Amino acid sequence: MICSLNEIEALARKAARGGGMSWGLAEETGKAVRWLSDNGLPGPWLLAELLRQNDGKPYSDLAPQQSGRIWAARRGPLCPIIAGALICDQAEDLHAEAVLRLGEVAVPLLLVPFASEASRAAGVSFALKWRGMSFFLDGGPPRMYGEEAALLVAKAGPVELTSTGECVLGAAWPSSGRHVTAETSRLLEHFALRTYAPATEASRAGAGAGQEGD
Amino acid sequence: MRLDQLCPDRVALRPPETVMRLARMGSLHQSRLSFMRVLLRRLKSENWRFETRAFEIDARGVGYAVYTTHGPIRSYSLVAFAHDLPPEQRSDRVIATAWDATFALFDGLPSDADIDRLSRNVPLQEAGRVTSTELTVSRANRSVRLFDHVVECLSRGEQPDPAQVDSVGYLMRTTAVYGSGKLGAADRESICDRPEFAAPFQAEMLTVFLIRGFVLDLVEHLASVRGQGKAVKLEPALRRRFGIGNSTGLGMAPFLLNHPILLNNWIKARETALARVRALPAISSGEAEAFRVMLRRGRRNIDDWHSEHPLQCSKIAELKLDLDRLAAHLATGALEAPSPWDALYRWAETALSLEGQELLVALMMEPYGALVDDLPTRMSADEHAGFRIDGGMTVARLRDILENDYAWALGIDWDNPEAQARAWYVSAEKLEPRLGDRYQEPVAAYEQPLAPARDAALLFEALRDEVAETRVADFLLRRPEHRHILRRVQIAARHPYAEIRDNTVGIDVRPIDLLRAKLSFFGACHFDPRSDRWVRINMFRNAPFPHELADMEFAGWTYPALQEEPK
Repeated sequence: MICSLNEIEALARKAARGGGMSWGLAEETGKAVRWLSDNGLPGPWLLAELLRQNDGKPYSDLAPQQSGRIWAARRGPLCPIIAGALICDQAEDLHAEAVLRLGEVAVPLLLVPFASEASRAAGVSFALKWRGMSFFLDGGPPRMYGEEAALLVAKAGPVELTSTGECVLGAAWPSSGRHVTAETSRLLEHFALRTYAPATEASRAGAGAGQEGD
Repeated sequence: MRLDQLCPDRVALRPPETVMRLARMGSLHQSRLSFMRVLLRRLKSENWRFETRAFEIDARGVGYAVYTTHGPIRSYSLVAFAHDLPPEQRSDRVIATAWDATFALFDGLPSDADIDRLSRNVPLQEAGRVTSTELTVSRANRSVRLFDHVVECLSRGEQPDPAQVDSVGYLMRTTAVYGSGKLGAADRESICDRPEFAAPFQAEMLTVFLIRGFVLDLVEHLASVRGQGKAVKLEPALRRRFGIGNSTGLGMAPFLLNHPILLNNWIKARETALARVRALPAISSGEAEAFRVMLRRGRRNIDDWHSEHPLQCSKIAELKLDLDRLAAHLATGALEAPSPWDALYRWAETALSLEGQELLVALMMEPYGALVDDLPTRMSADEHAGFRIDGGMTVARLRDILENDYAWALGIDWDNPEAQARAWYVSAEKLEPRLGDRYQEPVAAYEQPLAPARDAALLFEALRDEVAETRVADFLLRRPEHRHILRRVQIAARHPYAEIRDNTVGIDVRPIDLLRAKLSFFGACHFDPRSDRWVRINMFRNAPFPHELADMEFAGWTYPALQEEPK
C-alpha cells in the first residue's frame, strides 16, 4: 500500500508509543520515520524491526549511559531513537572537529534522520558510518555509499558520527519509501493498538453527531 | 489609510492571557481572515472559471458528477458520487459506513480511469484508498426534511418556503472533510507552495464550496425529473440562502492543541488585524458608513442564529443586548472621537460580553480589506521547523519560562480531583479522540498528551531537584517522560499564542469551545452546539455560487444582505 507521509508519521508515532516510548520520543520517531520514507528508505519496516527488538525492555536498558567516551547502553544495543534524540539535543556541541562514537546500535539506519537534523541545526556536514556503510549528511537529501548489505541490518556497532568537509557523491535508495507492506502495517498497528482504550458505552454517548435526519 | 502609512506599534497586540482563554476562544466569530472568505476573494480576483464536466445522475439521484475549476495555472475537479441511502443507514457519526453523497477533490482533470478508480474507493471513505492526485475526501448526508420539501416544491413549479429554508439552512451537511494525506491523499506539504493553498485549509474550503454547487444542482435535477415540464429552478436569491451544513464532534477538538504553531499564527494574524485597525487615528465617513452597514447586516445574521443549547441560547440573547448597547453607543458619536476604533474597543472590553467583543473585532475589520487582507498568507505554519528541542537551554531558563508563560497552569491545585477529572483518549472502536471520566472509566492508562497545563506543572515539579546550569538535553536523557511538554513549552516561549491558557482536562472543560474557535477561522457561523461535545454549523450560506462569482459584488457575503431595507 502506498501511504502519505502524514499517515506514515501518524502510524509511527502511535506504534512507538504503543511500544513503550514516552510521547515526546514517539513524536521523534514519527518525524524520523517520515524523513526516511520521504527519502526513499523503508522507515516503517525499520521501525517495526526496532519495536520488535525492544518490546518489553525498560528505557534504562536502551539509553546511552552518561559515563565513558563511547555511548553504550547498559544492556544490549542502544535504541537509535533515544540516541538520535540526544544527538539532536546536543547539536550545538557538534562542531567542525566533532567525533561521536557509539557502541552497538539497534537498526542503525534509524539514526540517520537525527544525524541529518543535527547537521542542519549545527551547520556542519557529517558522515555516519557502520559496518562499511556510510551516509553523507549536510541537511539536504542523504547520500550513501558502501555495503548495501549493511543498510538494513538489525544491529551494528560500532557506529561513528564524524564531521566532514568532503562532499561525497553517493546514491539514493531506489525504492519507494511510501510503500508499506501489509506485514509491516500489521506489525505497527499491533503496537499502535496498545494506545487505544477499549470502547465503552459511556465513551460512545455524546461523542459525536447523532442520527438526526433534520 | 494604507498599511504602509500606519504606525504598527501604536496599539499593542492583545496579550495571550486575554486572548488564549477557552471562554473567549469559544466566542470567536468569522471575519475577513476566515478561510472561506480568503478562498472566494482569490477565486474572484483571479477570475477562476467553472465548468460541469459530467453530470451522470439518474432519476433516483444515483450516479456521479465532475465539477472543475480552472485557476491561472492549475485546475481542480470535485468528483461527486450520489447514492441511494436507506434512511436507517443515515448517520452523522464518524462510525457511519454509508452516506448520501461522497466526494474527492482531484488535482487536475480526472480521466475515465481515475473516475473508475475513485468510484471504487471514495464511496467507502475510510474503508477505501485514494492517491496523491486527490487533495481531499469528503461525505455528506441530506437534511431529509428540507431536501424532500425543496424537490417537491420545485417539481410542482413553486419555490420552497423561505422560513423552512432558513430554519435548516442546508440541503446536505458534511460529516467529514479529510485533507492533508488522509486515506492516502496528497500531503499538505506537497501542495503548500502553490499560491492558492498558501492560506490554511484552502483545498478543504474549495471542496465544500464545490459540494454546495453540486447539491443545489442535484436538487433541481431531481425536481425536474419528478415534475417533468412543470418544474422550476430555485430563485437565485433564495438559492444563495442554502449553505452546506457540517457536524463536528470530538474528533476535531484536539486539533488546536496538536498544532500549537499553527494556532499561534491564526491568532496572531487576527490580533495583528485588530491592532492595525485600532491604530487608525481617524475614520473617513465612507469607512464609518461601511461599518454601520456591516453592523446592521451582522445584526440580521445574529437574529437568524438559533440554537437549543441552553448555554448558547443565553450567549445569543446577551449578544443581542450587546448589539443594542453598541448601537446606542455609536449614536453618541463614538466614531467621531480621536483614535475611534481604539476607543470603541476599549469601551467594549467592559461594556460587552465576550461574544459581543469578538463580534465587534470581526466587524471592525470589515471596512479595511486593504489593511488586513494580506494577513491570511501568514496563517500557515511549517511545524516541522519548530520541532527540534533546544537542548542547550539551561534548567534555570526553562524554569523562568514556566513561571512566566505557564503561571496560570502552575497555579492550579492539581491535587483537587476536579482539576483532572477528564482524560483525552482514543477509542479502539473507531480510532477517534474521546473525552472520558478519569475516575469512572478505565481510560487514564491510554491518555493522549492533551493536558499541557497539568504536564507543565509536572515538569516544573521535576525541575525542582535539578541544578540551575544543567542543560535540558541532560535532563531529558534521564527524564524522557517530560520530552513532549518540554518541546511544547519551548514552542510557547517562541510563539506567544501557541498555548491555550486553560485546563483542558478539568471537570468543566467544554470541547465545543475548541470546536468553535477552529470553525470560526474556517468562516462558519450559526454555531449550534448539540451538546458540550459536538456542534452543527453552516458553511458558505449567503455566498455566491461559482457561476455568480465573476459578476457579483459579494464583499461581506457572510452577513445577510439588506435588500429589504429601504435606502
